[in-house]
Amino acid sequence: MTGTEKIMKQRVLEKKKLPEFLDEILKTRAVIAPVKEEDHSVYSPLKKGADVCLDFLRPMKSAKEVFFPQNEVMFYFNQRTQKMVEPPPAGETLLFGVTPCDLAGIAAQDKLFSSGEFKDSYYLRRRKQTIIAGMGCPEPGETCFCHSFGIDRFSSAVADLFFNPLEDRFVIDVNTQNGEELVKNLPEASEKELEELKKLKGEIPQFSMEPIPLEDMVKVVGEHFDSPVWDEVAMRCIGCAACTFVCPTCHCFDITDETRKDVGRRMRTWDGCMFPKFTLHASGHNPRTQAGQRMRQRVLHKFSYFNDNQGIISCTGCGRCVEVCPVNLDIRDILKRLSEYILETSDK
Amino acid sequence: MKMKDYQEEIRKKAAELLESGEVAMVIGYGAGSLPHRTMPIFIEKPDQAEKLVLNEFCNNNLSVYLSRLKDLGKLAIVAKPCDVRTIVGLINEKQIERDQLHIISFSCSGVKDKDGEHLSPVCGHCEISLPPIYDTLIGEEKQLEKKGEFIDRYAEFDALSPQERWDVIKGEMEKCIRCYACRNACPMCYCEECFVERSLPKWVGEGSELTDTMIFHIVRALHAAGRCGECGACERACPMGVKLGLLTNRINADILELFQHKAGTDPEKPGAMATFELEDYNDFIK
Repeated sequence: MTGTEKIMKQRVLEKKKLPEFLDEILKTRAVIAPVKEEDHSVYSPLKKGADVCLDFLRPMKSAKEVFFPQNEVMFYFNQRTQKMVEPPPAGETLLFGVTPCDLAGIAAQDKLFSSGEFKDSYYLRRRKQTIIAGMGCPEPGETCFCHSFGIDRFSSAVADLFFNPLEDRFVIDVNTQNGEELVKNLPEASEKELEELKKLKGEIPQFSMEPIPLEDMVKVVGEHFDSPVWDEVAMRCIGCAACTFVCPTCHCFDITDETRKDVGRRMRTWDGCMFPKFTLHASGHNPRTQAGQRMRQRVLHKFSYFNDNQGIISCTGCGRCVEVCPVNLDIRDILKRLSEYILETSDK
Repeated sequence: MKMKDYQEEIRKKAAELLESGEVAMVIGYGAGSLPHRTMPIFIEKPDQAEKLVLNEFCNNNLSVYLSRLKDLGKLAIVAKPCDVRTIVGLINEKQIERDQLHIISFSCSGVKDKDGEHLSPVCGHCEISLPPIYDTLIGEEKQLEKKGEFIDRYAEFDALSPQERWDVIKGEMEKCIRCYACRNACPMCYCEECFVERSLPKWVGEGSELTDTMIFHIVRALHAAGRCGECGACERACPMGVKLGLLTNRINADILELFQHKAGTDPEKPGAMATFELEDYNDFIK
C-alpha cells in the first residue's frame, strides 16, 4: 500500500480552523504554503499555521520549486578520497494551497521528470515525500488564461486533497489515502455543502479574454520555425529570465561543480532560454544570438516540442510571465499573432 | 496638463522626424496588453506614429535599447527626464553619440508602479521633472507638481544602526531569484559580458546562497555608483519587489555628498568615478 491509490470522499473544514488544522500537521511533517511577502505571496515553509495567506490570486513564483528547487546540491564529493555523499532527503511535507494552474504545472513536470526512459531521482525523491493539497480558484485574475487549456479550477487528479472555498468553510475532495490520513478527523460534507459547492462550480468565471483556440495551432506551429513573427514579437525582449523563473513548467537547468581544494559539491541550478548566453557553446559559437530565436525556443518548447514528446502543452495559463515581464511581452498576444500568421500563410 | 495630453504632440513629432528622414526609427511607448501597462515599441514609418502613447504607466527606460539599435542610424527616443539622465551617462561613456540621437522628452509627473496604482517609490523620491538635455521638449518648461508627496525613502533607513541596515538589505536580497531583470532593464548595465556570467574566473557561485546573491547586487550597485540615473527601471522590472534603490540610489546620495556630482545631469562632466581631481574627497587616505 503506497497511499496514492484513489479514493473519493468529501470532508469539511471551517476556514477559521485552517491555522489550527495546519498546526496539527506541522507536528508530523513540514508544511509549505502561500505566505505573505509585502504585496504578494510565495510558497514557503510554514513556521505556524496562522502564517498561511490565501489573500492573493496565486503565489508570485510557481510551486515547481518544491520538487525542483532553483538550486539543489546533488552530492558532495572529495576528490582525494573519491567519496561521494548525498545531502539528506527533504523529509515528509504537505504542500498546501496549490492553485489549479500550478497543479497542471506539476502534472507536466511529473511527465517530464518521472515518466519514460529517464527518471529524475532528485525530483522523485521530493515528490514522493509530499502530499499535495490543491485550492480551488473561483476568480481568475487579469492575466489568467487557464481556460485556454481546459484546466479545471475546482478539482485536480494531481492533488491528494483539493480544497474548495465556500463562504466560511472549505469542502475538501479527498482523492487519496495519503490525503485521507491528514483529514480523517474532519466531518464529511453534508448534502447542503455539496449543493453549495455545485453552485460555486457552476458560476460563470470572469476571464479577461476569450480562450485562445490552441488545438489547431499546436499541430502546425512547429512548421513555422522560420516565421518573421518571432523577430517581430521579441524585438523588445531585454533577455532576463523573469518569465522562465516564475513559470510552473519551465525546467531547464545547468549543472556545475563548486570546489575548494579537494572537496566540493555538484549542483543543479535553474537556467533560462531567454538568457542570451543560455546556448553559448564552449567553442564560442552561439546558435541563438537573436531575441527572436530565443522567443521561438520558449514558445515552441511549450506549444510544440513538449506536446510532441509528452502529449500535453506545457503552459498552464497561469499568466505569471505576463504579469512579471518588464517589457510587457504577453504570451497571449504572441499566440494570437502566431495564429493570425498561420491563417494568413495557409491561405496562400 | 497631464502626461497623456502630451501624447498627441509626441505622435506628431515622431511622424515629422520619420517623414523628413531625420531619424531611422522612433523608440517609444505603445499601449500595453493590460490596462495599466505600456510596452516599448519601435516605429519606422510615419503612419505608425499614432501607435505611440504617453501616460503614467510608461515605466520602462527605453534608452536600454539605444546601444543595440544604434547601427540603424540616427534614432529618436521618447524619454522621461530621469531616462535622459541615463542617456547623458551613455553619451558620457561614449556608448552613443549625441548627434545620432533626437531626444523627445517632457515634463514628467512620475510613473506608477507595476501594480498600476501607486506612484513608483523612486518617483516619489525624484527631484527632477525636466530633462537635463533634449531636442524636443513637450509640456511646460517648468517643474510640475508631483502627484504624490515627496517621500524620503532613506530617512528611515539611514536612522537605523549599521546592523539593522544590513538586516534590511539582507531581507531584500533574500527575495531575489537571480533572473537579472534589474540588470537587463538598466541602460547603464551595458557590459557585453556581465561579471556574473564569467566562468574564468568565476566571481559568483551558481547557488542560491545569500552571499552569492549579495555579491551580484553589491557589485552591480558599486558599478552603478555615480552612474545610476535613478530612473527606477530596475526596481519596477523586479518580479519579486526587491527594493534595489536602497542600494543604488543610496550610493548616489553618497556620491553627491562626497563629490558634488549628480549622475547624468551634465553631458560635459564625466562620472564621479571616471575622473580624478585634486580636490576630490580623500579622507580615507590617512
